[in-house]
Amino acid sequence: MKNNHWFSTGIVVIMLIVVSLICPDSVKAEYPDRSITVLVGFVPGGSMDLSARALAKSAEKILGQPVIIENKPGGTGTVALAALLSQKPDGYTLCATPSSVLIRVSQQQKVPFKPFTSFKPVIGFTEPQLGIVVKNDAPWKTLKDLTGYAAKNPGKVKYATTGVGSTTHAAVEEIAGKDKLQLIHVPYKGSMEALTALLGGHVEFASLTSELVPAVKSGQARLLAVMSEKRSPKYPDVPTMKELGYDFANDAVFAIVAPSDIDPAVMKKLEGAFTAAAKSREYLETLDRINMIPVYYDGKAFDSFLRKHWKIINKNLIASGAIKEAATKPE
Amino acid sequence: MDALNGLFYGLSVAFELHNLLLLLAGCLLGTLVGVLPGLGPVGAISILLPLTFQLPPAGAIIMLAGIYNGAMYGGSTTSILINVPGEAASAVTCLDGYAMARHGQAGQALGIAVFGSFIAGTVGLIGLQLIGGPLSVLALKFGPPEYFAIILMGFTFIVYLAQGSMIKAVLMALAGIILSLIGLDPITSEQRFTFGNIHLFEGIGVVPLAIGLFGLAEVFANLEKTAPARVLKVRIRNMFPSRSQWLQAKWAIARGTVIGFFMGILPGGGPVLSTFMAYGVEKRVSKHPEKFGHGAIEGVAAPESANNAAASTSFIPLMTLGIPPNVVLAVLFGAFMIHGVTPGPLLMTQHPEIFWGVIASMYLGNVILLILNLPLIPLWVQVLRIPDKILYPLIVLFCLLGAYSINNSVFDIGVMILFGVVGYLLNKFDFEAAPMILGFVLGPMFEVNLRRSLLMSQGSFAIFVERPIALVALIICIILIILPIYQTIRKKRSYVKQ
Repeated sequence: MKNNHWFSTGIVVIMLIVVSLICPDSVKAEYPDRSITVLVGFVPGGSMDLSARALAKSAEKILGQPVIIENKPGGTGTVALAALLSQKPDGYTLCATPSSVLIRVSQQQKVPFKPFTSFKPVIGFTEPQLGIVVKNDAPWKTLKDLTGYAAKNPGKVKYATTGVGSTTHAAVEEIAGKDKLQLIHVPYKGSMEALTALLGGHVEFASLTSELVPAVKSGQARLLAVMSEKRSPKYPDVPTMKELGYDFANDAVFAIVAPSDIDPAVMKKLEGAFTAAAKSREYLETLDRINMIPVYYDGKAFDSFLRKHWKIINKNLIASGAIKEAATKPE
Repeated sequence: MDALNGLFYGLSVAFELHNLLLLLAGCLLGTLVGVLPGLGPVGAISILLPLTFQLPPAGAIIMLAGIYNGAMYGGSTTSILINVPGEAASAVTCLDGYAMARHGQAGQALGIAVFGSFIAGTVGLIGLQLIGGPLSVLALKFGPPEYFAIILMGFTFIVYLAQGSMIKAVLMALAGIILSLIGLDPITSEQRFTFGNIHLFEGIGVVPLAIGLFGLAEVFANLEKTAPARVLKVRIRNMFPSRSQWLQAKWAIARGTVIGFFMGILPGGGPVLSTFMAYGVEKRVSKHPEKFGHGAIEGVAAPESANNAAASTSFIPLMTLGIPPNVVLAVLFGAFMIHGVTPGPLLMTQHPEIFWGVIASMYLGNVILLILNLPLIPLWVQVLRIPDKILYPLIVLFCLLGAYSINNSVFDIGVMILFGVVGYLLNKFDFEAAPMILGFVLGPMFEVNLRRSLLMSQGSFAIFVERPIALVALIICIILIILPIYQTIRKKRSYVKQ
């Protein structure tokens, strides 16, 4: 009997050791004393996901704790931002989001947060490169071929984007508006899904972010237009949308945001770490590999970027008849 | 990459030291939860998921798959030795396994269970390896209408194959779908069923739900049992079944493997159901059905083979279509996503290290389990001696930890406890929790693909019958719905005639 008693005690001791290993420290040590989670509102493998992962990898060396990316796709990136609201503002949960989710999506759909005041921007760190792609066996060699075909076949041409109200969606709206096309929009929860739909032949074309790179490189897909101001050095033969006569260039910046009531001391640490990470060589090399452009906005600069673009995009959306007024109040 | 090159590449991943250690840990943990009554692979994988956050994705999935396979091996031990199934997929093994043990053949029963598991698991993996690649290519052809129809077919299978009442299974699947609607609309970001509560904006998590329904609810159910389970005092002398036993069992293993192979792929099938089917078939084809329940070795060999074959092949729909066919795979699906990997047609080309690494490591896992299981059985028997008053509080503690650590959220603990109580009550009223979890996981895919299809067709439902793959799936749905109705009517008619 005594033997049995010792056996039980031993099991309990072992289990308690395991538990103490899993449990986050309850003793307040200096921030950060455990891993930091960064939420991403799109499926893995897209430009938001890849760039956030690259930044997180560099940041964790500076912070001395793992920085983990967690994908919460849905609602064109709004689900992840909404999820951040329910987290403690202790700096252990952040969200990586395109500015377009805070601006375009929030103006077209009523979202459960205030784009200017619910979050505090930590850093704006990169710009995606967007493009219009078709499958390699599609008959269209230029964007004009494609729009010409769509004009002759109203309501027949389907396209995939990363979500309703996203920048990829806005770009196609611009084309459709100018050329008076009737296109069918099929929204996905991120570019990886949209790319799968394109390669499977379920849509005629797709408006995507940087994950078009491997598909274009391997010849599975053809790039018809890019949405940067200037031609991409990686694809010098592909025209920009502006060259083709559409007044559209990407206006989204990817940023890391924290809950608005975060402790200022923690915020300062985060800003320092992410700024250093955004300037690290490792990060810049990864960005180049996934065809993204490094930019740098500190919290204040990103905040004024948001406010400025809110007005510009609001005017455009009202002018195009997409909305009558912004669906969400910004503050 | 063809299947053979893929396997060699996968082996190179699986043999990396850290992956090998993770596999070993997964197999041991899996066997442990398989042995422990009251905690199955669903609960265990959910609880341990947060532990894998800091591992690279391939290692994490390898470990979690190891837990799944380990549980399939471990479950038989308790069934045979104490007549209590360590987990649901070994429930049938109790019938003949415990009877064999009482006749002094515990060793042979354990032995045939392990060898049968090994053979069937390996065959299932060969299937996964050969079918996986070509199916991934085909799966690219699946657009929203095809996905919608296939998921609908999945739901019909879940209901058709339900162990109890079909109506109850329908209700549970629907309840799961409704639960999955909570949160922001996946396309328009509108709030649904959130009641303005910020914790509900992203919906409720599958992990707290699964831990509640399958972890906590089990503990509650076990609290009712007052009599402590007695470990049969047997000397396990000879693990190797005799020549005549082998001859008796060999076809049982073969049939169990085939049944498990197909049941694993079917949505709603999976290891648990395959064991019941395999046992039923064995009893029907046997020349001496009267021996079943009194220590027939086929009654151990067939179900134990079936559950391992099913465990292997259930990875086929997940890794190629991105559709989890059973509850364990539904939780694993969540694990893939958490590690930034989307299971589906592009998995093989974009993450070959995971696709082939996981397959190769499952081969290795089978070998590890074969080698480890037999000598370690005395150790597992020791584990069974942990008194309930220590074991159950510990499981509750792990449930709480698992639910909390996924998001560091107290709200999730509340969700977990609520569904623990719900799961207990469902159990009492003979509702199965499995269709609910499947409804919960497949619900969002079902909804989004339905809406995308209708967007593509501008609102016309004809899109589902114009596409051949979707049409075939829908016809199967209709047959599965009509079949049981027809059977009931015929039964009633013959009853009236009498």
